[in-house]
Amino acid sequence: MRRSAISGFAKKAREFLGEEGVLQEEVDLLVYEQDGTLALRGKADVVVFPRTVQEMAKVVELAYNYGIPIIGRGSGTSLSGGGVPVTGGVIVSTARMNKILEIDLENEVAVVQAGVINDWINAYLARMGYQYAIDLGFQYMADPGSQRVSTIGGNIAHNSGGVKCFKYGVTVNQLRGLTIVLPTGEVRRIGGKEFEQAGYDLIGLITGSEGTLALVAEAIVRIVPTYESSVTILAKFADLPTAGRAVSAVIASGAMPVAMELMDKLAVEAVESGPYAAGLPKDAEAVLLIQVEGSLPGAKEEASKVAEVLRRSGASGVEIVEDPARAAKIWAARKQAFGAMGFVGPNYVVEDGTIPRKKLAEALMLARAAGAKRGLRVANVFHAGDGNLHPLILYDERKPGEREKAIEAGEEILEACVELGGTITGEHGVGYMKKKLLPKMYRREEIELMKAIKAVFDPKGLMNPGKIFP
Amino acid sequence: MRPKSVEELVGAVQEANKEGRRLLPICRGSKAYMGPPVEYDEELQLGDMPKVVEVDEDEMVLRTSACVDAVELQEGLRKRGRRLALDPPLFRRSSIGGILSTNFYGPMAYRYMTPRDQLLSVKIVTGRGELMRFGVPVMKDVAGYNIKRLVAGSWGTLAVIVEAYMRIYALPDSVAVSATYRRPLAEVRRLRPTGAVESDGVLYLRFEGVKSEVEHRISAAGRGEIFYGAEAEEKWAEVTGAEDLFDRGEVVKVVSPPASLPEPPPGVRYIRYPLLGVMYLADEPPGGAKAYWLKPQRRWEVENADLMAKIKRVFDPNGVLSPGRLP
Repeated sequence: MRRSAISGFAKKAREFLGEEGVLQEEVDLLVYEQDGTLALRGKADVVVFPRTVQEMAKVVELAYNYGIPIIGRGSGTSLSGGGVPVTGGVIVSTARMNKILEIDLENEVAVVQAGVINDWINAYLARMGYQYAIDLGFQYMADPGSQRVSTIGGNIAHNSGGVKCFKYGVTVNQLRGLTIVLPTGEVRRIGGKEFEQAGYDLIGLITGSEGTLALVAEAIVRIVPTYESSVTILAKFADLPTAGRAVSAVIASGAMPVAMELMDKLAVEAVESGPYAAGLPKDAEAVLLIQVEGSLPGAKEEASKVAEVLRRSGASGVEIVEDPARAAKIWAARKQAFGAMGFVGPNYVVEDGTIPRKKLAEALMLARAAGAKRGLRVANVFHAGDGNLHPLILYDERKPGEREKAIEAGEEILEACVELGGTITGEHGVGYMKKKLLPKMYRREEIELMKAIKAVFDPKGLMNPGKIFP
Repeated sequence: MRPKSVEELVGAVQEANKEGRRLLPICRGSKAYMGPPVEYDEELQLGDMPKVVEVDEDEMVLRTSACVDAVELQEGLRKRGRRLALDPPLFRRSSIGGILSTNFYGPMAYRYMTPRDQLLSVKIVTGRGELMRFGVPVMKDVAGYNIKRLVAGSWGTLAVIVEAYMRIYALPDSVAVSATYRRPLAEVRRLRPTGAVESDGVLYLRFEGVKSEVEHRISAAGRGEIFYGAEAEEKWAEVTGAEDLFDRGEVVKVVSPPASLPEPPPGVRYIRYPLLGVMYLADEPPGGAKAYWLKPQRRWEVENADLMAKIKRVFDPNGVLSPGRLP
């Protein structure tokens, strides 16, 4: 029955999307079997490429009427399996909805289609002295030409964070308005260019709902002016607990860094082995990167204040990076960390827990131990300012059983995050990979309430099925 | 009705469901009789609920029960070198629960965003009378739907807030407020204030950070009366609190894209957040912008009300909490 529904759907979709807007060939579908989650596969029945809100609405309505699962997809960089069609169905790709529709500096907003690449907004804004503050720093080593790859739609679906959220907040804090497509194909506009909307926070509900309630077609995002000056501080530590305490001390000092990132020895080794090497100290157990911003005198004073706190907290070396070119290189190196893992291990599972910031060192040790007892190495990259850890568990898929061990170690780390008072996912989503961990965080009644809200939007259960809920 | 424990509160809401009794949850009540009108049978006075205040000054997280006075929290935090980065109208008359429930924010929201954005975790009793918790007291969490954001700003229509974990911030090294002349939006932005509020023809700009940052900004801000430290905080609290405005019989909130925020009609008492595009006005609102009456109580025009009504039914199927108010 599914088969005839699919061919009926595809035939009708071609009528308004054209031949090129509908993929059904086996070889074409292969590309959409995976997202950034290397440990999961699932096959779509058909992939469609709407160009406008109206086309997206029409194709969603069509799928809904045929009873076919609907999976939204941007660039497919999800690390939780969010973009994998685990039950089959139609993938609605936003690849052709890639236009920046308006930059409105007077109101400090940008209006974009869901398929716009995060970094395009910044590339566009840079010469106007503005920025979009969700700086994910996501780059694939496999395709260095593609630069940052994740889309605004995907960022919204996962409520992504990135390196600048210590100061600027996560994706939900940047959104003024959304245009969404409900499963029935009905188009809704929520909010606009105003700072707030009356009533319940539907933008907050849709953001991070991982495509299980509706598809995001367009967004109105806040943009913020760039400061006159930003300064990078580089500190190294002889052990992880000292680095962890230094992070807390900086936060408690009243400094307001834009970004605060920690890398452990193995992560530094990986980055320094590749083309993005930035001269990070390889002899340290942990390297902390901090960026502050302000007026010229203000940023300078704040940087020396932060440097002083770091020295007092036991850093074995602190450097205020004066040269902007070197600072840019250092941040590029940090943003390459995931991709650079190829230099120290053939495959990896990346986890995404958040813990109270003062428990950083403890969490790091637990992460290492979870790997070590399975004979696996774990590299650590943290958004330290937010307590968001990304342990990278290295494995070799040519060795039977290693992948399973890596996944198991990841789950152990996330359970430890919950026990430390944190969460199973800080910014990558629950998706498919972590849905069985959701009950570690929420009781049955609380999960039932969330499911009841899903039913308000998606009574037939067609939106990204098999995700979030166990 | 005055529950004295979480158990009594759960019992009271469950009882109300059985008897079809409609409740209006109240802490200090500074905003209980504002906004869209409520049809209720009884006030649910929460002032006797157990008081909880825990400050984790390293983690920069505050745990507080709903009915703690905002001023009391702020004073306690100040002694530890910390603060809530919140400056909504009526701050000095508010409880933290009331601020969260209405998502009332002030001009500093330009930099620190709204209470809803600073809320990390919330313990609630739903309209069904179920005790639940959503969110965790860490900076980033995307596990499951963002229910805490729905509760904040729902004006007591979905659940009763029992307890909240919120972000707190360190006191800045230096704070200054300049009382200066009004100027175009683009110019205000260029001065990089933490917040800007206009009241009776005077523009107040707030600057904070390390000393040289504040000095640099103040020197660029031009002619004006400058307040520093405690005096700056006092001035800012007085202007943003807007108590005399809210004591009037008519108060309406006007929201628009910042560049098209209307001018206040001449001679009318108002406060205005130029960077956010928000204005409170003691008069009929000018045309062309969205307007929400706070006093006298009138219904609001809310977009996507059908979806909100269905969400309300998930939390409160029998309509016992603040019915009529939202959506």
